[in-house]
Amino acid sequence: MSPLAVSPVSLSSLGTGRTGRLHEARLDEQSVNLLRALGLAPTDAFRLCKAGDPCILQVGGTRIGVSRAVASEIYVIPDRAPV
Amino acid sequence: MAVLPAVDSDSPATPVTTRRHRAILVGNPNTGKTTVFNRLCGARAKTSNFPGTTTAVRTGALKVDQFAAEVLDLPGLYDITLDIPEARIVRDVVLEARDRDDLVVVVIDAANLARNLVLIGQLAGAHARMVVCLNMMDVALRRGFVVDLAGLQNRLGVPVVPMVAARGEGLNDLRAIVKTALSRERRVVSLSPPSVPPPDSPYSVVSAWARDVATAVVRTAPDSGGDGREFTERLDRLLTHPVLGLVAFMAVMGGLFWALFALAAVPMDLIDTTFAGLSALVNQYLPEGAIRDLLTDGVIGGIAGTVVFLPQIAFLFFLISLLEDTGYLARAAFVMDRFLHRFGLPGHAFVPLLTAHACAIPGILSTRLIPDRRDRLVTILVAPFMSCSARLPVFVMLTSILFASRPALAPVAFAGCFTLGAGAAFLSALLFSRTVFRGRARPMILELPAYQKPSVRNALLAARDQSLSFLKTAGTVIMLICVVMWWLSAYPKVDRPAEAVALRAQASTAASADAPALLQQARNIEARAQQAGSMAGWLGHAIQPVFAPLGYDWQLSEGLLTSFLAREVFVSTMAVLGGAGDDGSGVISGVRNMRREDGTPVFTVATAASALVFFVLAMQCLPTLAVTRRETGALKYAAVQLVYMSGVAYVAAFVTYQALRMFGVS
Repeated sequence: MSPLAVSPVSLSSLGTGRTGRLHEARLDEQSVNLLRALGLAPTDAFRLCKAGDPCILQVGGTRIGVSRAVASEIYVIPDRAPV
Repeated sequence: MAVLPAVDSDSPATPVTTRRHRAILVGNPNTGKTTVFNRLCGARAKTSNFPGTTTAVRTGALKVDQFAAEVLDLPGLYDITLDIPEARIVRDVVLEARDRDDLVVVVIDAANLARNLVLIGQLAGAHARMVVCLNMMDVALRRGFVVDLAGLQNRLGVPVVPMVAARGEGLNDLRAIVKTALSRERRVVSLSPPSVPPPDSPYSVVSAWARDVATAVVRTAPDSGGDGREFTERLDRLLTHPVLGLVAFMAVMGGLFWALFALAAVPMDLIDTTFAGLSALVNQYLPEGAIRDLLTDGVIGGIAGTVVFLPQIAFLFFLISLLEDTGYLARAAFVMDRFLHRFGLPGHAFVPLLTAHACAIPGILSTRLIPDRRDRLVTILVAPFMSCSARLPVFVMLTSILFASRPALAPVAFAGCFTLGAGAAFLSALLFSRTVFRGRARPMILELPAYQKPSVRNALLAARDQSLSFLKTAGTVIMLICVVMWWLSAYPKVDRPAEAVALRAQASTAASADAPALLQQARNIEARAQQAGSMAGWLGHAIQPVFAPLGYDWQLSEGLLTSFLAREVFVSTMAVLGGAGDDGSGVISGVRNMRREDGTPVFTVATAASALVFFVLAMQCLPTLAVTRRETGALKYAAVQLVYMSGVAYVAAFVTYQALRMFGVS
């Protein structure tokens, strides 16, 4: 596994293809619970399949679509970008 | 709150001889649960609301040799601890299943085991009898996952049946296991291994357990790739693209409506001709009088005016079901989210608004999927603007009248009706968002299911369900209204006008070739006199001044009045009032030829266009208002919906009629 970057960044700032883990979702409780139920949790790695609006993530076998507004409130710890 | 209180797993269960066998399907969305249900029950299924709720649940019958069981298809959900109606229903039913000794069949996606096992971990606390249906094994294999079935079965302590429900693979095994499990008198199948999370475990514990089990029984790493993911990503980029996605959406929806017309035209003509022939047959063999009129105008006219549109309703649901199965609708929701947000609606509103195209009632009920109350209220208020299947008969009739000589334009006008309805919904949502429901819609989070070949079987069953539901309405409410309408238009009996008497006398002495035409002319004059002098005529005349600025005569006004209960009644009311079918003609041509008292046509281009606009926008559905009241919990929202939509419809129809007249179209 790649070493983790130190500071969390907004999901909306990541580019397509980046990987990482959830740090914090600054959303209402229902949205946080739904993201968790879909598999987006600090314990699981995700891959950003498509940046923009919608933002599409792959977590395990699940593809999750979130609007740009949601993505901007999701803070993640990205894996170090490939050199 | 105890989500699923535990019981002593050794406690005896109710003997099977005293109750009806029941299997309950539970699972995450997009696991093929409905396909499994359809495979188990086939055509022996019906959709109804879960008792005491407005959430739809499908029930069906499973038969294996002499064994029979009821099967319930519960709404799909990810997490039973969520504070949503679907989770509450699943919790209640699973607890009841334990007490009744029912069998819970959990359908899970073999290609997404870790996430799906969370639900099993949560359900374990109920200690209900359980079978796991490991569906989509083909997808798992394509993605390079090999599931150790024996290992999974050992860890869960329940039977695990591998399946590819879309192809029917594993179906016989599942049926046999359901039969065996339900035939036993005691709870012999239960989650009991010590590895299962204890009841009321925090989500993190259940999730960790699910991950451990998945890691232990799945051989390949979940992100191994090589599963067509590149194709999915390319397609997702295209279908959710700001411009190309919208183009694709328009193309898909345009194709859907084109196919709807192309497929439905032949059976519609066939039904129309058949009922016209039946009516002519009754006229030929029964003597003139009340019984014959009741049969031809009330019963046959009423049924024909509704059943003739059944093909379009069936094909609409068939096509929407196919589209849903492909996985495209979730992508379309995101395309629409960008658009809907501008009008203060959430992307979640796409599904209720699309469903409202079939019927506003399920559309309003499905707004429960919208998490925010403000978003939900706005969506409920505007959903009935979307052109529902009940409007289809009216659209078909009025567009056919409008474009009698240019039938190729009818589908264009038809699509225009849908666009006008949708436009009114969006603009109204914007108005509400800036006035009574200030604020922005909640942003969207949605699972994007894998693209797949749609199931024709599922689509056929969906079309059948909705068609039966439509016929049930036609067979009860609409038929009753038709008979009442016939009675109102048939009584009190009026004397034959002198002109008709003279024509009949002339017919009796005329050459045999001319007699039928003279008699028909006499009948038409008598029918018009009867309509004008009947109770329906009085009612129509009483309210006609209100609709006069829209160009409507008393018959058209009467049609609007009766269709307040259910808008599709308009066609059959007009068919009855116009005596359509008396001369063996079809419903549409009969209505098209209706005359006012002065002999001018009821439907000019201006009045037909005005009526079309009115029906696109008006709130003419009593059941929808009742559902709005129930779902919002307040009568005021139903009242606002009725007054607002009726007002918009009246003003728009007035503008249409007057503008067309101003430009010399009448």
